[in-house]
Amino acid sequence: MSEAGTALLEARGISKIYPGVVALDNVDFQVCAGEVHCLAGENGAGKSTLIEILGGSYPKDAGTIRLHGRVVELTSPRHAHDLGIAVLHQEIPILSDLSVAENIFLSRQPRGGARLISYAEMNRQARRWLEMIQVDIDPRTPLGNLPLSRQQLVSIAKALSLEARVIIFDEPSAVLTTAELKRLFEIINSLKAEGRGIVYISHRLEEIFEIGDRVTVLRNGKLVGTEPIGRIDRRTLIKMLVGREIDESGAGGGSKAVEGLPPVLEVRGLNRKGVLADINFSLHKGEILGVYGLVGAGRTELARALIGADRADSGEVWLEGRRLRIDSPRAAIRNGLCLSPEDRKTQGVFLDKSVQDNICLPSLKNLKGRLFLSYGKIARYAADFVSKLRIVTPHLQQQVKFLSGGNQQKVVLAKWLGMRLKVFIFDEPTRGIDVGAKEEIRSLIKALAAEGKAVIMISSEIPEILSISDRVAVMHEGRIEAVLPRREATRERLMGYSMGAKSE
Amino acid sequence: MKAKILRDSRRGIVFMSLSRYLALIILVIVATLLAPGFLSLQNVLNLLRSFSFLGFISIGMTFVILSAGIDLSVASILAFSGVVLGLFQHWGIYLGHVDNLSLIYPTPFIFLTVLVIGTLLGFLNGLVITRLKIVDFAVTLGMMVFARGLAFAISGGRTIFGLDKMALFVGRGMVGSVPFVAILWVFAIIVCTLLLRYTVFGKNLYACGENPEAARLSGIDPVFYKITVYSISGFFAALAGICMAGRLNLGEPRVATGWELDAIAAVVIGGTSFAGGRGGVVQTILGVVIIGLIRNILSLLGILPDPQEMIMGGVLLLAVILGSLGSRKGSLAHA
Repeated sequence: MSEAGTALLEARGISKIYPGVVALDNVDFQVCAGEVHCLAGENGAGKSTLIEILGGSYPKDAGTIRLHGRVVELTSPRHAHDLGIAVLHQEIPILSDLSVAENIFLSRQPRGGARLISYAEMNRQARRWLEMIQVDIDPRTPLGNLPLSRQQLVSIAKALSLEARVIIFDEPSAVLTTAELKRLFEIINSLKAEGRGIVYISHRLEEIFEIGDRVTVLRNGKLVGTEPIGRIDRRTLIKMLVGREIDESGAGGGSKAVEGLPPVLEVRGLNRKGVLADINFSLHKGEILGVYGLVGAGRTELARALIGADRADSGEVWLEGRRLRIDSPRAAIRNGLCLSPEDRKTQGVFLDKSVQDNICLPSLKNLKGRLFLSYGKIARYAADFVSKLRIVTPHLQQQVKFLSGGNQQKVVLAKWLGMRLKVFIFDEPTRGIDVGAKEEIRSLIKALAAEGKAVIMISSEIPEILSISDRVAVMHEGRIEAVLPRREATRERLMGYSMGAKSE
Repeated sequence: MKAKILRDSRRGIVFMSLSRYLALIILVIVATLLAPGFLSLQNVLNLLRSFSFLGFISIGMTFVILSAGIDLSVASILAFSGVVLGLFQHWGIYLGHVDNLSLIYPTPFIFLTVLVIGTLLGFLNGLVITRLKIVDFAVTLGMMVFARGLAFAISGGRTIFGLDKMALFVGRGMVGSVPFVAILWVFAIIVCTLLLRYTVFGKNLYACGENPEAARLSGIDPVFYKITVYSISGFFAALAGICMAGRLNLGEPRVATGWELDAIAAVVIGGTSFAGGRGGVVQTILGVVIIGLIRNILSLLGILPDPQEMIMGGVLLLAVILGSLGSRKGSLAHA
């Protein structure tokens, strides 16, 4: 346990200030040898900033960092590497055309004769580090050819090859399936047994309780507290995270029988080579159809094909009895379909643009005077949705990048609400946002359905799917394996179908 | 402590955006010291005229850079347009006798034709970039060489002397004591500013510039906007070509060599970001004036054109460095 270990890395009084935002305010954090220290907090709480500082990417504005008891000033990620601190980023920066081994030994390639790079030696060493975590990957494979989960394992091997004593995992589970996560936890446990210090960041409480020895909670850039896992329960942790009590059971999602409702959207025989195979389903007025599946099952591809972001090879999409020709998102929107994309920051919002500009963008046509745009109308329109959806922003001109994930998601939603659309597709709308905001987003989606909109809700979280859906479609390898009414959908069945178990 | 850091970083950003005004003031002071009559109304109006030619292509360049593109072909299209104007007014060159035989009459139709040709060349840039998915830089570099070559080819490398009265008026005419080109430039700036700030087109263009994929998923067609900005850039290059030919009273394929870089520098100094989606035509005025003043001062100092280019290269580099400092520093990459 943590009490037995000695402090490997200790940060005291860390502060970091950006223009207009205090990202970290006098935060203490400590990792001991042989412990897994979880770092938790809502988005915007300062977790990422803290690890960027510990990893040498950002300079701190105040505070001290001690490594093995000695004060260090980290100047660059390279410097941090040299001192034995490795950060495994959420979005792993990779050079996808280079091989696994070349990525591991980037800029410190083993040299052979005449100081030239020895590929044989590099591959041999890479294989050794990979074997250490019992991963069977050919070090000569281009890294880009591996799935995300394997890339992550490679970056762990890289951390080991750096002789890192402190390894920081930034939300590693976001891209992993259940089986892969189990594997990751085994690796983490063995790293811990070797006396390394592990920092583990996650939004999922289950993981924190499963892997962690201690947990430190940040909120709004401030330290809420550090507790041994054994001494707190789920309820206490949630309270620490959001600062108030939350009912996260998702209760009140009484599902409707959809059979009687008129179908709005019908999809027949949709195909896209390599990603979607013979997709058939219908969606009813006022229904929320949950779509569950593992990463890579084709959920996002289905959403993108439906709104014309990617072209389907064959198949028909019917809306209210009319066959649609959707060859672009523009055509989809004109017909009444919209998508809230999976990658919120790069596809859902314009980070540098204001809250107002983001909300109004698709509706600008309706916010004109006789000739020119009316900024009065634009501001009123945006303000209306900001108050309706309770988007937390100091003012309408605030750039969206300064909002928390949950509020960014609300901005994406607000963008579509004023447009009289019929079908809303949400791809992982609650991914990476905090517990409180998740619940808010879910109730907004339920309210949409209650107004008679048809909703497709894609999610990787089974409890979320079960709490919100009227029916659940389960995808596996580009197919819809089953469409279950809510009362027949259980955790076990969803898992089963998502892993390819055929209908009995 | 906290408040101080906050204040300091804010101060940094304010300094960045103020630095270009500071540069302008310093340049004006230097120019006034070098040439005492510098700030006289007559000289200011003259300067305004000399800035207008670069000003036109810089307006077009602003649109392109707002869409996160770059247009290296503007100066060549400018030269080509001037040559076409000259040739249309001296069609006799091709018929073997050198008199004022106009291919198209009256002159406004010639202007219109030249503008359409310039716009089409820009359109072609946009089409190749979007349809064949080739980077902006490569396509417009090709067009830069192609259009300049075309200007030489159709003129046989000759300078075509003598344009008619209307063309001369566009280039050198005065309305009262104000040069006509300057009025035209200011008019273009007003129209473009309205277009960018107060129309759906403008808003959508900024969106496409910042993030084309997010724009596409929001129902905006980035391909349309890309093609349109290059067409606009071609249009302004042709307009600058007509004015320039009128100013010089000749169609000349060697004119405005290297101006694409001046235009890019003007846009970036003005504060339009290379990353796209941020900036505007009004800001570009400032950049054009700064570039124009630097050239003016270098000439006043008696520095020859070639060393001038060297110094301008340094200025461009400095502008880009300052520009990226202003936008990146203090931006919140991870919250």
